[in-house]
Amino acid sequence: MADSALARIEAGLAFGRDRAIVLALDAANARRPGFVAADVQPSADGFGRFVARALGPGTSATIEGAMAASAQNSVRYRALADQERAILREFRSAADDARR
Amino acid sequence: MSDEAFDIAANGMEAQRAAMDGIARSIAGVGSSPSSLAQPANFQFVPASFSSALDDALAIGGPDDVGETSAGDGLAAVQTDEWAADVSAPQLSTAGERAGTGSDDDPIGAMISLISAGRAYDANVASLQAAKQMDVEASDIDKY
Repeated sequence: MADSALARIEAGLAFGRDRAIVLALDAANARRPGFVAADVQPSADGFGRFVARALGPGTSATIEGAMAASAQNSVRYRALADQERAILREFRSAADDARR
Repeated sequence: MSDEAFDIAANGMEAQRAAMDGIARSIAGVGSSPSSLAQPANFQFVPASFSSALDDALAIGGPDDVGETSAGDGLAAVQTDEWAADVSAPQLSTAGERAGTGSDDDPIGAMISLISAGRAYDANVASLQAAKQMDVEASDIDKY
């Protein structure tokens, strides 16, 4: 069970890293004429399905949307990191108990 | 995390900074072109500088000195070009976009472009900070 949870958390962390790159591209190219912002959303059966997000080129929605999505992604990444840290802490506690 | 997000955000910040430099030059040179309707045809743009202002205040330098300053520094030049680097695949490009400001006779448009470039710069800063925070979280996973 713990291995499965860790695997899912690791998948979520990897997805968060990939999404951070996509959102950084959105922010960097927001003012480029003709640029269409993109985003990735986790699919129901896995992670990393690309979903086009058409906000219109050069609009304020692209910049603000990229900033908001980046902040959301960062918070989600932190939550996942906290969960993984908690699981690893449990592992360490169990290992220490067994050693005694 | 790979450094890709950092590179993208840094490139975007560099592009927006360059755009803001160009827009600032455009705003500084508004009305300096011969085609400007707002100024006489023989109007010559004289950029403000600390030394010229000091010379004027102290009455050390004459008008000729100020004229020499305005002749060669190119501040009246206006960047109206639009360029975009690495545009083969925009959603995969790591370079940001630097937008031109249009006409040098349109100060309002230039100021709007300046605000837009500033917001885009802020967005790139936010991306950089988010990537940094994620790196810190990743490095702290094995800590108690």
